[in-house]
Amino acid sequence: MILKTLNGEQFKALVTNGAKNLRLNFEEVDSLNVFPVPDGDTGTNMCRTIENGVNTIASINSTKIGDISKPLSSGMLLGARGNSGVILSQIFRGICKGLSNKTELNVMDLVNAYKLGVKQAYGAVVTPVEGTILTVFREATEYAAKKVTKDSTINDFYRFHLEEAVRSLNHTIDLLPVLKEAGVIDSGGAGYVYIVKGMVKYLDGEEIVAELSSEGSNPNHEISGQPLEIDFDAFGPDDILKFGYCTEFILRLQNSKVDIENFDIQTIIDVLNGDDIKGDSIVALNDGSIVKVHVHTKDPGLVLDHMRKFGEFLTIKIENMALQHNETMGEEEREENRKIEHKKYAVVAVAQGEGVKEQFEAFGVDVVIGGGQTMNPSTEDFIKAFKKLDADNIIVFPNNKNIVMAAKQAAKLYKGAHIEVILSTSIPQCYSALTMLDFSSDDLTLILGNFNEAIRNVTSGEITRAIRNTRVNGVIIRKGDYIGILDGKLLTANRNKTVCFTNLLRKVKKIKEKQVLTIICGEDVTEADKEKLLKSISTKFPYLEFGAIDGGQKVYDYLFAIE
Amino acid sequence: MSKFVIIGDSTCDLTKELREEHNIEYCKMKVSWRTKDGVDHEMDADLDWPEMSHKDFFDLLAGGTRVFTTQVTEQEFDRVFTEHLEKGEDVLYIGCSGKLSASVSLAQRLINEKFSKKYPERKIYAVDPYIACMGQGRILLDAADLRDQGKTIDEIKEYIETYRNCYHQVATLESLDTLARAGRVKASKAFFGNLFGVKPILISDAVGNNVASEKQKGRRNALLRVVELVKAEVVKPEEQICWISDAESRPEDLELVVSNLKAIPFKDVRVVPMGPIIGASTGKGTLCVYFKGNEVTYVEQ
Repeated sequence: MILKTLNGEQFKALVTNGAKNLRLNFEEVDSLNVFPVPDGDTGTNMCRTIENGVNTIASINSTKIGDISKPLSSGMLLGARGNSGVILSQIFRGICKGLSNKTELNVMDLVNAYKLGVKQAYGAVVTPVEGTILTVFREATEYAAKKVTKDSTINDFYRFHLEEAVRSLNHTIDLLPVLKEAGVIDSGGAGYVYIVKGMVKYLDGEEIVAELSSEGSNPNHEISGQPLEIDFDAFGPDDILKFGYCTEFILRLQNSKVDIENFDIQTIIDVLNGDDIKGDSIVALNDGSIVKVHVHTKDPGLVLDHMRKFGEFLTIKIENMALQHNETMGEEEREENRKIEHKKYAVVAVAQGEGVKEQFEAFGVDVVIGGGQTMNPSTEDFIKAFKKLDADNIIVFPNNKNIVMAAKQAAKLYKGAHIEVILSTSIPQCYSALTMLDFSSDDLTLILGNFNEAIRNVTSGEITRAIRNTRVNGVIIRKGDYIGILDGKLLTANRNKTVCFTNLLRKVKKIKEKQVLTIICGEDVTEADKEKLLKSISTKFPYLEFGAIDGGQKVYDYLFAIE
Repeated sequence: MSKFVIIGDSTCDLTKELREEHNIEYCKMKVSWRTKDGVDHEMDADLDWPEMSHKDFFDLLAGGTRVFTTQVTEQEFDRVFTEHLEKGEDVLYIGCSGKLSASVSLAQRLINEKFSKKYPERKIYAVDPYIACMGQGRILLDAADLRDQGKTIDEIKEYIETYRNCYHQVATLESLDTLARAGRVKASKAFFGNLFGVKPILISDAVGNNVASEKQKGRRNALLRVVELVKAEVVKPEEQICWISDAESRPEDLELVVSNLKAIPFKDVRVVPMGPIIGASTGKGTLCVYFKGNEVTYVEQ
């Protein structure tokens, strides 16, 4: 089909086809990993991100493009996981900004919307790196913008966009030295190209057959979802309202009431926070004229009255939080009801491996989010974790550089507490920081300073196995070798894991000035392995104080922190 | 003015030489343990270590043996106090911090119920110094100096009660194991947990609790932090000796602390062996620094 203009229905089908194409190819994207380690997850992350957006619009049937783009954008924003996922969500956020309030667009509108996507995506990244999805998207957009005229079709735009995206993707290998040495192209860029290919296939009349995952939750689900079975006995005639009402609604801002274009969501947050309503656990998001709010309050009537100053309700859900709902309620809502001791400081940390999770909890982490290198939690996963807490300050340890962005995005969206994201990029770093956990000073600056200092003093190491022959940083690696990675740099490889470990330790700068070594053993490490390793360390590094815990993590035989 | 005797107890870490030089007596507590093959041992907590060497005792603790301690018994108070009371001397007993041992409170009860009645003309005082080890030792030494300068027993008692919060302790432990076994220090479990290389810094608070005030990663960092805290709190170092009670720390660790403390202009820095009572709870490698400084006001809740 040749499209001169694009309407809501077509846009929905276009993006859905893009998501399905990525779903069919995400594993290949996952495998584009610089290190020969089976933990690439870019494809999975991007797929889950766009699927969360597509699931959000699945039940919306409108020819008005603005009706589709806004929920798509919020769905992706909340579903975003991994750096490439977060960037993808920002790309679509920018594009969708350009589509809001439109019914149908022509090719020049589309060009402008894509340019907004470039601006939004670059703006969302603190230090944009060229040779990544950012470059691929930007170059493809600039090229298509140059090639199309007002007489071009929507098909022309996407064909040019794809043509340049592919060229740009193949060029990423020259822009980033790490890619060049490993001989791979950028994975985020590759994921994006699959999405565009799927979109072009739709325009070529090919509807892709693929089952989209609904695992990433649909942000509208909890509001528009199933009727709930409720145990009414949980709140009797003499009970006193203690927890208040969990109040959620979607509001359509009205032009007759506010200036929608310049509306600041903070206005609503301030009202909910105010002395009148005294709301807590506030989450408020807006996308154009749609505002989605979650708040706990003892007087939902007041909330409804106040909110009508800004617009009219699309949906409302109000529940007495004392009631224990049954399974259909969803785990997180029930946990929410179970809460919550008020705390001045709470800690949320991401961890993989049962042993690690248990240790973190023993150290005083309030919510451990499952996840790590191969399974990045989404922005919404973080928000759900925050909602489980009643704390003035929440300190977040993302423990992976690919999770930091989603954590920060969640911190920005959540208004129920002051949130600080510690830039911890590994489990060992977090482990060390947690051993120094101490809120007794009651001074947030000091507490954060101590955490950051603890993290700065840690060198983290990882021992895992290569799944292919390759060469990284000049280290020649054969398939099956144990490889040693120090602070993200692959430095050594050996057939023997104990030797690999001690060789890697020798690479630690000023090793003789180090004092403490903490070893976290993976699920494949046997007692004999452990014994052998500890013996070897005590002989070779007698000045170190060391200990090992059973972390139970996958893929990585050993993680360690040396400080 | 009557003659009076100054008496400490097994936690005061005063060596024989120091006690003789300053004419200080002490009441003995006891320690006991069961060996791995089930044999029970008991010995006096003797500051001169006649039955077992200082090193053997702390190696025993490091090996995982739990050592139990007994406060000064009524019989021991009878033995020591009566000897001097019979000679017509007044008694000033400066015992272990009341937060760590019930010896001072037992002494006070015996004074009220027994000694005062039997020796109504004598002054018999039990004073809580709110500190132990060489902090208590240092107060005993200062009391002896004041006595030698001609101060009365009442003046000395008043001096201690006024200035005891100026005597500081900053200490660190090599390992948390012994402490965990004995459960002696006030600190939440979460503060310690299952930690590698985490070293608590222990201070003596304004009422004599041993309090884990902060923690450090690594022995070296902890030792240097101890010196830093001494620097921050000391007053008029040039007028005092800085004392260290040590439980068999590695020589290089002790040397690190001593040399860094010497950079503060103390009259001298001296080391005494830590006694078996406090040592039984803190273990091998405990290193405590004692000095006079700003008044301690912090009280652990």
